[in-house]
Amino acid sequence: MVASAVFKLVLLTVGLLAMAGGWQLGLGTLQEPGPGLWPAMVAAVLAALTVFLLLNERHSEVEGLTPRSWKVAVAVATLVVFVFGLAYLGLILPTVLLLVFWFRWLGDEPWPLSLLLGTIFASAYYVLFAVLLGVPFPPDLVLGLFGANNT
Amino acid sequence: MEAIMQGFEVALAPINLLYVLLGVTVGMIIGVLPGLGPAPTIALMLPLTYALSPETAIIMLAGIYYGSMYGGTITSVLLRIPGEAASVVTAIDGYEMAKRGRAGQALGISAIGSFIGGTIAIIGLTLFAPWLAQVALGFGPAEYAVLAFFGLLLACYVGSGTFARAFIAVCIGLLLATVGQDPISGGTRFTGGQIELYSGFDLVVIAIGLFGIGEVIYNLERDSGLTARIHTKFRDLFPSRSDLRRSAGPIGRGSLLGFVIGALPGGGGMVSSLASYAVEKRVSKNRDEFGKGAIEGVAGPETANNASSTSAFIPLLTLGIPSNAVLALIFGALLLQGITPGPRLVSENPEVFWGVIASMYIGNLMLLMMSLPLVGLFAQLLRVRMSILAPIALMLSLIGAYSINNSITDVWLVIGFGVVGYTLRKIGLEPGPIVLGFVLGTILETSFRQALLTSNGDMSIFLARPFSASLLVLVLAVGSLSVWKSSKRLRQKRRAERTSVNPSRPHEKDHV
Repeated sequence: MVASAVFKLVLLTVGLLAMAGGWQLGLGTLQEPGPGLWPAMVAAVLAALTVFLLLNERHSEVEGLTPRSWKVAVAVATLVVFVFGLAYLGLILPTVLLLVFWFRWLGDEPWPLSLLLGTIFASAYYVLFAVLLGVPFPPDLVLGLFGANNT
Repeated sequence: MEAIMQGFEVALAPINLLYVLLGVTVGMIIGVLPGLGPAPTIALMLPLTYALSPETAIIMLAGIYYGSMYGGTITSVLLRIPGEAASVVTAIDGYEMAKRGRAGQALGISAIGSFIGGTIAIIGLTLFAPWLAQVALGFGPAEYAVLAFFGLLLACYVGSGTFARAFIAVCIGLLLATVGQDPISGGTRFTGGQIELYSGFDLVVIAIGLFGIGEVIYNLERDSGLTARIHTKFRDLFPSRSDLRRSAGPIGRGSLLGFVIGALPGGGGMVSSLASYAVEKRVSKNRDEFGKGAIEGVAGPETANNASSTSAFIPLLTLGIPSNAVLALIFGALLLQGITPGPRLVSENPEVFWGVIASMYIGNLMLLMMSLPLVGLFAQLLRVRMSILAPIALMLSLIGAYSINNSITDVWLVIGFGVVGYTLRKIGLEPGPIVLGFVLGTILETSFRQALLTSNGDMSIFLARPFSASLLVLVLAVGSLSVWKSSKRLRQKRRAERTSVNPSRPHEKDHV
């Protein structure tokens, strides 16, 4: 599949770039190896092996994008939204929302179970990390509503 | 043996007893649950170990590791789905035994064999490790470079997937390790001017990203239905006398085999259980029963894989070289505590060294006591669906990532690595070797450059010292063997494709 060939080409590019980067950092000599020697060596092996993969493997054998791959895109999008939520709304609300979304839409679980599990686990994470481990999270919207902001 | 007594003092402290119990329980649970292995779990628990003392942290993480070996057996026997890579072999004869209503005996003999194998391995570890640490004190950078390289090579050779792929993954890990400060010259490399990258990537971030997030989103594409029949009807949990008699030999052989294979850098549970199965099949009088429910086919491999997960700690604790991804993470946990594992660990941090070893005896005993009565309970765990587990693990990854440095940047990085992990998985590159390469990268590069500096650029230093020379020969042997094997496989495949493409020309097959 084209997708897998593209991924491999990207990997090859990374390898070649790393080789160039290593050369730029200075290869030095064998007597005095420079900072770029090791990265360049490793990158060269990486590039060579990737070329081997590209040439010798039938790309149809390896996976491409499947009908379910949209789920991955959606999933990553939810993670990005979560991080913004965490920064501005604190821990609890984004956690509940993310969990419920994943249970309900990506997991096909029924509404009541999703909501219940989402709330239970969000609370559990709060207790574990914020209370027991004392990790300072950004100011929490939910806790603020109860007037109990602990930052 | 005063040292091991000191170790027991540490291991029997109430907090360490609590944590080893926690560790083996968590380990057993995740061993049972498909889709969640010891590597992601330990990765997720790394942020939590900050708050613990070094010996407690490692005691718990080690417990998770060998506990998960026990847990993996349960799904192998009951569902023919190996919970862990090391239980693949058990799924063969174990499941057949279950079909004949003998699941209880299979699980029982696994528990007994694992306990014996683990105990023998721990005894071996107690006797052998200090001696090896002593020898390793004489190792110079050349030896370390070759040893680390050998470990990586062997890990690629025995890992799943092709050698080329595993080695590419290792190279990626090695490159990731170069980001940040150059260990020898002190300058910065590949940071692109970002201050956060000056000290390089955090192992925890990479581990959580690849394992916690990457694997979860990768599995979204997979059908997670568990539709296999669970054979949970078992009356007796205890193996009969003839079962025990037949298993005695396999258990004995499995212990030794597992101990030796596990101690090699790169060796692991899967290899030792496969090797044990092969040996037992060859020496057994009941050879024909193999594949149809021979108890030797369960007793031997299970013993071997538990023995090997214990002896795998030898290279880590004595040489400072982890032999697989899980141990690489445990290595990382020690680094987080400010301890660099190596030959000096025995003398500088005896409470860690001996405490962990002593705790393994205790953990092993706890597993035996728990696994037999609680098997029914664990079997129920199999009902938990991936659709519930995955978001929980994912959330733990995200929050755990934040808690490392109370930084949102880390959460972004973790998501980034998750996407990278997913992409690499699509081309068949696994996260384990990447982590192993990352952890060993600094050691390998530093040793390599120091060796060259010492020898003034003379590459023959790697051959001059006998230990590194013999290892190099082995390295070349393994390397060329795998290259030859992959090319042979490719040639065979091409030949097969050519004949199948021309079905109307049957006489062509004769030429193959």
